Amino acid sequence: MLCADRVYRHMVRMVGVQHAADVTQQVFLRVFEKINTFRGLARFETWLFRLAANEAYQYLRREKRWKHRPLELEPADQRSSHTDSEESKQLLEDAIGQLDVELRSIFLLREVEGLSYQEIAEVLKVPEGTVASRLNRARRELRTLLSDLGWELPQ
Amino acid sequence: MNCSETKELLSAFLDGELSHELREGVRRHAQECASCGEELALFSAIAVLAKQLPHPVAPPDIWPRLSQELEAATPRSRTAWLMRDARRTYSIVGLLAAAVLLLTGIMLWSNRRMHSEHSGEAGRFAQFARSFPDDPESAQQLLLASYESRAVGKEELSNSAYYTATAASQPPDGYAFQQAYAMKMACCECSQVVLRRQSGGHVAIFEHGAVEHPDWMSGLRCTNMQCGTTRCEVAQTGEYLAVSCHVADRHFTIVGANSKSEVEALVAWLQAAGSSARGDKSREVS
Ligand SMILES: [Zn+2]
Ligand SMILES: [Zn+2]
Repeated sequence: MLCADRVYRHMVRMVGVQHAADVTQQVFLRVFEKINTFRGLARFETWLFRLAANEAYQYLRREKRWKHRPLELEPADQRSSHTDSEESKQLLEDAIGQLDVELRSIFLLREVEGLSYQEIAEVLKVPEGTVASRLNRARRELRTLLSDLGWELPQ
Repeated sequence: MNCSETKELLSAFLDGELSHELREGVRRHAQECASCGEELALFSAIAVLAKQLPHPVAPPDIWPRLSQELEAATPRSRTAWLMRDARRTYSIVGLLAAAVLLLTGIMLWSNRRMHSEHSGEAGRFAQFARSFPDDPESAQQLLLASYESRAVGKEELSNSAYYTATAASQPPDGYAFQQAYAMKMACCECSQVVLRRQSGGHVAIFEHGAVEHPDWMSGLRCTNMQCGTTRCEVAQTGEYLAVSCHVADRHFTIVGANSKSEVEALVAWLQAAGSSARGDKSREVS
């Protein structure tokens, strides 16, 4: 997994698939500009996601488009047992797209990028306690959005 | 712990970010309280679903476009030679940066594989191995939700995987059979048996049909350990041990062992059960 792919998939869900490549490029232009301010290999991931988060916020503020068309998944495969889960995944993409942008980014950093609370705290420059409470809000919000979209909890 | 305290800690509980005591507190409350229990189940269902989301890959033209952008972004200078120089400097810096990125990209990737957030199966397994001993019920639910899986009765078991079948009919000394499951994983259609320790707690044993070594333990830091004639890979998960080993022509993964001596006893049992299971099988066939 190259960093470009990780930034790209983050952007697909942050700003929408139509603009993800452009914003990813912006992030890497920033990386090239600021690479000399980067210290310590261990923190590269958080440093990169910090630039990415800033770029996404700036883009969204500029465009005043806080919500975007969600990622459309490939049509479900033929195996019928998978159809339900394909539908559920699409519902989750839709719900993520409707989530408040702050909650959206924290949810993606945790659930898709697998960052720890400490790493997320570094990326977003907030205390770890705030990470925990925002994740609670994100998940509650998603639960409401998902149930509005007709999602049913799997058995 | 009351409801509002618990609700505040639900995410941290799910994400494995709590101390042992707080974890226990949340677990106990969520077991008793329908509202918190339900919310936790919803959170974990969302987590399971999120782990299954696809990973779109950056379009291949992103790098050529990026280098064009870099050219365009080069600061303008009045004289040609200065401009050339500025450009050269910029692109050397750019090249260096790209090289660093490529390297760190690869390092991040291998790092990630170690911590296995993204190598699906191993990541899920590491998560399961860490949470199963403290909270077998939710860990098991999350695992079953991640795969096409079902609970298997003793009857059906006796016709399929023979070690798990033996565990169901004659569990090792000091253990009682609790439940068996079949699940379709990337490695094979595995079976799993959950044993209840008579002294308290649970152990899960996975049996893989494929002879090939499943990639499960790559998300955990492993050391080797010799159990009789069997070489085991052992990883510490909290206060417990997860073990991967090969006995006869089957592959096993044990989760939730509480000591090295328990690992030794279980592996010895697997070796012994193998011969009796094969005995049963051949009798069935004849
Ligand atoms: Zn409660
Ligand atoms: Zn298997």
